[in-house]
Amino acid sequence: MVFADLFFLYVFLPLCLIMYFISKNTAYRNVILVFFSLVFYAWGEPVYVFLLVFTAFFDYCNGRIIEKYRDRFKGKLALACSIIVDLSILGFFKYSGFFVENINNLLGLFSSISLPVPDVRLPIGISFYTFQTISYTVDCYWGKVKAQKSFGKYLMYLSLFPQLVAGPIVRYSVIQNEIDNRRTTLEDLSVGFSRIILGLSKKVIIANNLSTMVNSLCGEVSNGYAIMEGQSVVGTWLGIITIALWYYFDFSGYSDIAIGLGRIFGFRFDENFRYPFICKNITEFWQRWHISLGTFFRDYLLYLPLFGKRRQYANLFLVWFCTGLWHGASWNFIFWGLYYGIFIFIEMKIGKKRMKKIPKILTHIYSKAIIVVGFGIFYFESLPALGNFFKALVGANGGGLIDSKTQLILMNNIWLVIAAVIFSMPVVGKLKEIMSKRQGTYILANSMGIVLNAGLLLLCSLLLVDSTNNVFLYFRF
Amino acid sequence: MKDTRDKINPDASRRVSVKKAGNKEVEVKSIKIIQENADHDAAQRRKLTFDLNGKQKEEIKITISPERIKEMEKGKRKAEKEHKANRRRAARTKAQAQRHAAIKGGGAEAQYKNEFMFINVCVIIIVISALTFSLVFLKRSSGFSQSENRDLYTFPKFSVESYFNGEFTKGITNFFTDTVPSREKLKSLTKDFKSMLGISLSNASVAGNVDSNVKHEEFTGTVNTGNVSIYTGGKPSTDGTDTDNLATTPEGTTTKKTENSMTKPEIIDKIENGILVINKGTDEVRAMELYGGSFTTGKKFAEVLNSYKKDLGDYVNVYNMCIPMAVAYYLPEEFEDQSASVIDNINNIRSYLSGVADVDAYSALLEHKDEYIYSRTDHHWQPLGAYYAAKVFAETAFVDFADLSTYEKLVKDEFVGTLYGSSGDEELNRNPDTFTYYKPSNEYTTYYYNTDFTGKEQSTLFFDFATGINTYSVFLGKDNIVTQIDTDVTNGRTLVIYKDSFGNALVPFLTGSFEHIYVCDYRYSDFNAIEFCNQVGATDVLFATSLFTSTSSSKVDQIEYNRVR
Repeated sequence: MVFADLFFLYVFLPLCLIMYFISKNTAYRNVILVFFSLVFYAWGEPVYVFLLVFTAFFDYCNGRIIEKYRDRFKGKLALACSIIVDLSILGFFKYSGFFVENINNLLGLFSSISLPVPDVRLPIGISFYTFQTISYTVDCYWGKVKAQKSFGKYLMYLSLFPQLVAGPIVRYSVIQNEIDNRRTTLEDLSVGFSRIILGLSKKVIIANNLSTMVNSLCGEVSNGYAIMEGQSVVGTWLGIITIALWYYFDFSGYSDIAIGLGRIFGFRFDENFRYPFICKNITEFWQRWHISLGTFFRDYLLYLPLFGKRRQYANLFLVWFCTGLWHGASWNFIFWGLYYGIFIFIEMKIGKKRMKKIPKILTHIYSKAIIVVGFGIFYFESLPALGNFFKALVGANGGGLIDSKTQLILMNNIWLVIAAVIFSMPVVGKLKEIMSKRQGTYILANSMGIVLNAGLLLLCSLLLVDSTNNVFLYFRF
Repeated sequence: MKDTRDKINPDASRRVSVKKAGNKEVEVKSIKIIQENADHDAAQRRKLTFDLNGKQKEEIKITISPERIKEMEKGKRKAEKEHKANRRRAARTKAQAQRHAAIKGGGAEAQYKNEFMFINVCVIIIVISALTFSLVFLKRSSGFSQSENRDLYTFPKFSVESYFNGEFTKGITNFFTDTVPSREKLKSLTKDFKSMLGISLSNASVAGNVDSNVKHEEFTGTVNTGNVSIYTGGKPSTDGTDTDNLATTPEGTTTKKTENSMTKPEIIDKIENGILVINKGTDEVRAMELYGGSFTTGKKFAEVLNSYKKDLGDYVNVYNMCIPMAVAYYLPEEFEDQSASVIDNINNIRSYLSGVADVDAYSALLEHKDEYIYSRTDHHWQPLGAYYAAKVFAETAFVDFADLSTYEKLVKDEFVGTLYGSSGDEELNRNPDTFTYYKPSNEYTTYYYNTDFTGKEQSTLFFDFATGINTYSVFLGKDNIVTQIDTDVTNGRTLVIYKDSFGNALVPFLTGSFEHIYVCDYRYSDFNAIEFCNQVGATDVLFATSLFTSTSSSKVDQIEYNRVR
């Protein structure tokens, strides 16, 4: 099931909320959450829901063993088992096809043997929950968290539907106390609902319409991004700017809904996005974009002593290789990850102090250019298309500087683009802050907020009637 | 003892000095009052446990009168009351201070915060409840969606298999979204909203995947079309085929066509290119499919036609009619870079034709550009356009041609064609086309066959009930059938038309020109085209396809495949 869907919003969610709030008993509420989470997941993955339950059970056991045999061989073995099995499952479902294809390409250089490419379908959300469960066992091992004694509660943590299929990657440590002790206050409800509506609007009003623009400007996988062969320079840049905005609104919208839903149930998830496009350098961008993934790699991979003395830089590139690979089994994602790795490496070499001395305007231009080109690399999944994209970026494909179609597409969507650019910056928050200072404007701001919430919810529902393509982008990962 | 008693405060947390036996003063950190026996005589006996610096414990017995206990408890309650009152007062002053500060401009976050949150939650819950109610309990849409040319989803049937492959749950979601009450109205609102996302530049908008592979090839060669001689004598019977017998198939192979397949024709063509919508208002707004073009494919197409001519022999005339699309005539100048040149591509094809007669539909239509020859909301032409093209063909083939005035004119209003569905431009939906078609006045009988040329069945040439998006299929119904028309003409000419959906509209205008007409869709015929032409005794073979087909590689391959299969 997806969040931006009438069935979810108006059948599943009301049912779930009613069932949840009819009793104040936390144990009862936990059972309800597990039940609805499993239904939610099974709606899209009627078979792989068992894989999810298995993973939860497996790491629940590992957690207990690790705690019981702390610092002893059995404990270490359990941790190793947990990591190896979890990553193997992820690897099998996500990367086996890609792996075999590359082996075949290599073999193809020397012989005519080719292995059959396995046709494995990726279970929804496996990339997210695998990372969550790994973070749990590792934290158990490090003693950061106490192992969960109840399997049901661990299953609830892992399958919690607000964050199950597309993040944020909520750590067990973040919600461990809330599993047993949580309340929903009026504020939680109000903030939670508003957050859901915000996320829904980002997805349905902005991201979905930006995606139509992207299709017109950059083509799709299904047509091999044919358009890039002759795209003009301005068309290409407009295309990748649109892609960057699209991904931001799609993914942060999803995170907003997840955080809002969590809040309604009394969980407080960490923020996943902090206006990434206001960053002044690439390092900062990754502290603002998909924070839960960045911190996961930072905490569990960056500082591992894998490479001896040179570990600082080797680990850095390993992290960015993995970040890229995590996003998908395709070379362009790996390039994309390493591309960021290179710029972060350069920024490390320049040093924070010297970076600060560069005029702000230049750092903004530099970072935005790197980021949007990065999204171009992210978008074009086939290597020939990626080549066409780079040619089009500088006009080496003979597409000219600008064409009438680009102008037309831009003008046809000009308000959308302007709105997207404005709302990718923290203007609403700032406006609220200013308006809160005076009583009159404070009341106005709050009343407007309520009217806007209702209006946006209605508009989103209306737009959902005619949307065939609701899948959130990060479902693929 | 009196001293001790007096100094015991009901508030146990206070520090108390107690005089012990021996008059030594001890500081006591905590006092626990334990009621030993409540009903003991007149006086209550109390046991106090003194925890002295957490080390020693001494017990002192104190006698307290019941009045004194009551007094003490009263005092305790009073103190508590006072304390509460104090706290409340403090809170009030704090709130007041905040409010004052707020009015002065110091931040009013706390003010009415709860009230606003409460209203917010209520409003949202009301909206969700109302929408849930209307989505779950109101009458759902169902049946056939005209604008999308498809049946709306129905509730899926449950089976273990459909559950485990995800079809069932997906079906429920699809059903739920697809059958929203008053869906069409809501959809049209959606499109209104989408049109507000930007400014409509020169009143134009682009939708769909714009095929940027536009090949701006310019045709510079010369076209020689006058060098094909048309054989008008009918097919000589010396080759031993008897046309009359071949056209009939054994009764045994007749298969009944279901009524259903006729009433709901399939979508005629897929829109594969970008759609440009220009202008606004009735009779003004016009959508057109943009054109990519390809000289190489065009050349290949010409060569395929040349091979047909070679295979069919001298006595069979082969014609090529490249039917231009609306974009050839109505593309505004500022968008010329978005579409390949139609005339250059046609000329390119012509230049490679050898032995194949070219029918210049382009020029004929150009002359009548200002008439209603193309639908504004559909990617096809109007029957009137087909009439002018058919006229040129009749002239090229030296056959009689009935004037438009001899036809019976029929009009279908409210025709919103395929380009609305694919562009989603609400302006098109608001300004439907009028579809005018013409029925010939001469005598003819029409038969339909399956795609393998079996299952002959007599029916009508026109399907007058065709409506909505499929209005164009008023001719021949579906694309994927073979049609035979026997007319009252007696010139011994048998025409085979290989066509795509554009060609359908030509057929009625040729009933007065040929004795027999066979219509095949190159995409759906399951037989060798040459054998078929020989079998039915074709004297004339017309390729009437849109230029989209002639320059699309896969389609040209299909035409070639029909020849060699």
